[in-house]
Amino acid sequence: MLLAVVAVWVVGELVALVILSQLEPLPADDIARLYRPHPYRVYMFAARRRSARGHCSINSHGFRGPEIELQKPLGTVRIACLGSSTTFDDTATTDGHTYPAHLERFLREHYVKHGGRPARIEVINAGVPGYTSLESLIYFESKLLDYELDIAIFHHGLDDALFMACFREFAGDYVHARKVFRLPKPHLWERSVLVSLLLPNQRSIANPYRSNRAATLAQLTVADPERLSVDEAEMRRCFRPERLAPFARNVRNFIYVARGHGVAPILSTVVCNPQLGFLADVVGQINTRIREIADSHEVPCVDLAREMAWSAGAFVDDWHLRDCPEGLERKGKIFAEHLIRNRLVDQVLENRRQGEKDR
Amino acid sequence: MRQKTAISLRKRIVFTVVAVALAWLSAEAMVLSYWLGQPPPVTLERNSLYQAHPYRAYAPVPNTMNGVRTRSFNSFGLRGTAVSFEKPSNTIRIACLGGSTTYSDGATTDGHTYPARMERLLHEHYGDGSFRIEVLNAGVQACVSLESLIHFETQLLDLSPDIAIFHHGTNDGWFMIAFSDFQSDYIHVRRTLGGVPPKWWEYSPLLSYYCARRSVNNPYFPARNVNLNQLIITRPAILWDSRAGRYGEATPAMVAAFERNVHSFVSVARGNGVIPVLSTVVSQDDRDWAGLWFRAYGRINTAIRNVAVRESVDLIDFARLMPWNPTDFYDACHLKDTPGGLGRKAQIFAQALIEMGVVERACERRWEHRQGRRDR
Repeated sequence: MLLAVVAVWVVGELVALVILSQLEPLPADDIARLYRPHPYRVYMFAARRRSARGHCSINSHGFRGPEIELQKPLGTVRIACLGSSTTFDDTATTDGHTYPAHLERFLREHYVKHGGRPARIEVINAGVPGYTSLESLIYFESKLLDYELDIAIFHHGLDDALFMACFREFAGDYVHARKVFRLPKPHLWERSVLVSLLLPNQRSIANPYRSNRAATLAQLTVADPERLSVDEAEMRRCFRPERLAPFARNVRNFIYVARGHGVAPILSTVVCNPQLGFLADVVGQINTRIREIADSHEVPCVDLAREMAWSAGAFVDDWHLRDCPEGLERKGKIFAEHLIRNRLVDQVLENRRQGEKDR
Repeated sequence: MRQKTAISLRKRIVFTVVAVALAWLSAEAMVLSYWLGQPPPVTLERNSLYQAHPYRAYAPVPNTMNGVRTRSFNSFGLRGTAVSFEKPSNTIRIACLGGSTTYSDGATTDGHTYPARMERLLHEHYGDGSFRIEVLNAGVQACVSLESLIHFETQLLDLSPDIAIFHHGTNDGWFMIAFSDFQSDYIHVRRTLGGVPPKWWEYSPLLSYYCARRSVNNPYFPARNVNLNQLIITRPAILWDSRAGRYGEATPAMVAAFERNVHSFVSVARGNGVIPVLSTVVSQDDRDWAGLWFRAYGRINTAIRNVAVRESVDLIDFARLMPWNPTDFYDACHLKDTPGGLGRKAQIFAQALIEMGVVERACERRWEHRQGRRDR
């Protein structure tokens, strides 16, 4: 009798495993698979991972895209793209379709056609979904600087806008909104594929087979994730113009750290759906602040908000671009054209040649 | 004669298993009743002066005080008396960043720390009443250079300091030599403050009674003498155990990561109009570990001096001005609360600031800044 029950259970587990493997993976499945806690920037990508849907891979350094060396190969111009989901580009169907990958391709094509210099351009996708300017600043100074960068693009503002507008309390170090990332352990019964399949609403975010459908990264990283969807009236009550100051401070500190380490900083404005109402106004104010800082600190600024207005054809939602020529590819092109027009890569090469001569 | 009834092997096994299980259960019940008779375990969080922080791994809890009222944190989590967010107009604010050697572990009261003593000495020197000197003790126990850099950028800059002293190297040195799998963002050592979940066998009262007396999060008897490092270090046992055989030299790559943080601090300070001041650190020449620590600190101090020379930053070469001695230090790096210990350190720092004219430069900058505003 006991043997029969065990046999039925084992068969049930196997059938459940087959059924689950046939189902379309959920975006939430990637949370436990791809992210790990970090003591200084809340969370990071686990090295050498692939998303459940297979559309994105994380290399051994925790960047989306192909493997790279820590030490920059001789003659290479290395560019890092810092940002959140709009840099990571979750909507890109492959790693080669993100805006940093498009940027790399356009720059390589340009410099091969124009005299074949430089030998190699390498663009690192250092975007992490949900990151604000503060996390990227910490990421930059605690890890990215080790990659001997020549240029760093700082593309932030949307997640900062949510932290500014959605919460009644506000702290300059964002602790009013951000919480420590602790990946929960799955319940004991979740080790069973069969039970996990039969109780879809009881599955936790860390279920080893299939996550809870409603799970989001914000649930693990934001103190009160419900606040991220407050209505416009509540945002108006919460937001104060002085909340822009910590964002501006983070952007300035990025510039100071970059320049201090010989990295050329580039700023960029951000795009969102104007129909977002008050949140779009906040993003507008953030963009104004970015332009002012770029002017006052003489930093090149890719004014994406002016060059690529929001449109339903190019955007999949309020601020994420589609994987299409008018979407992510166009964004990559705008950034590449800006770098080419302003001779930013050429300047890196000239400085390098000058440095070699001086030596 | 009556023949003994033969007991089958199967029955004997069942009987033994049941007897052992019953004995085990009764032992568990007895120990559990013992635990229940004890006062409830004091949770670490309730006792602690520190809390988890998403960007600094841990941070002092604002407005707290230790049990014996010798250490307190103000509303900004800085050791010492309250300060205002807005800097008073006639005040020169100096922030002292560092680990336990700035926090001043050996100080018996908040007023005996090296920053507090330095404040008094600077007051005495600049005592004409034209401006006030306010020194912030931003030292956090066990803190490393990267954490202080983040603290500076995310909180201290908002308090508008005029001068910032960066006094780091001791804990960075530990991170370099105690772990073989070094990572430049220190994630090989650091974890966000929190208890380690108990091991599965610790849910047994009996096993806990005998084996888990020193466990941080045992459900029945969490260790009372937990130190901060056990809560913020991934493998605290390695940190304190030289016999683990994992100690190694501080390599150039490790020192480069520290130098990167110092350099970033200088860049951020200058960019925000704060005068940066660097300082070397003192350590005991510990021959028991074949001079491993001493060599690491030597390299760290060389890196600090290099940044100071390269970037033309004011440097207080504390390692040269106050070498380790058993009279003034109570361990490898911490000073005693004596005039020759913390008192002397404060004197050295105050004297250096006066001689280098750092306060005067800060005053000039303030004046120029105000003038600039008026002209605009």
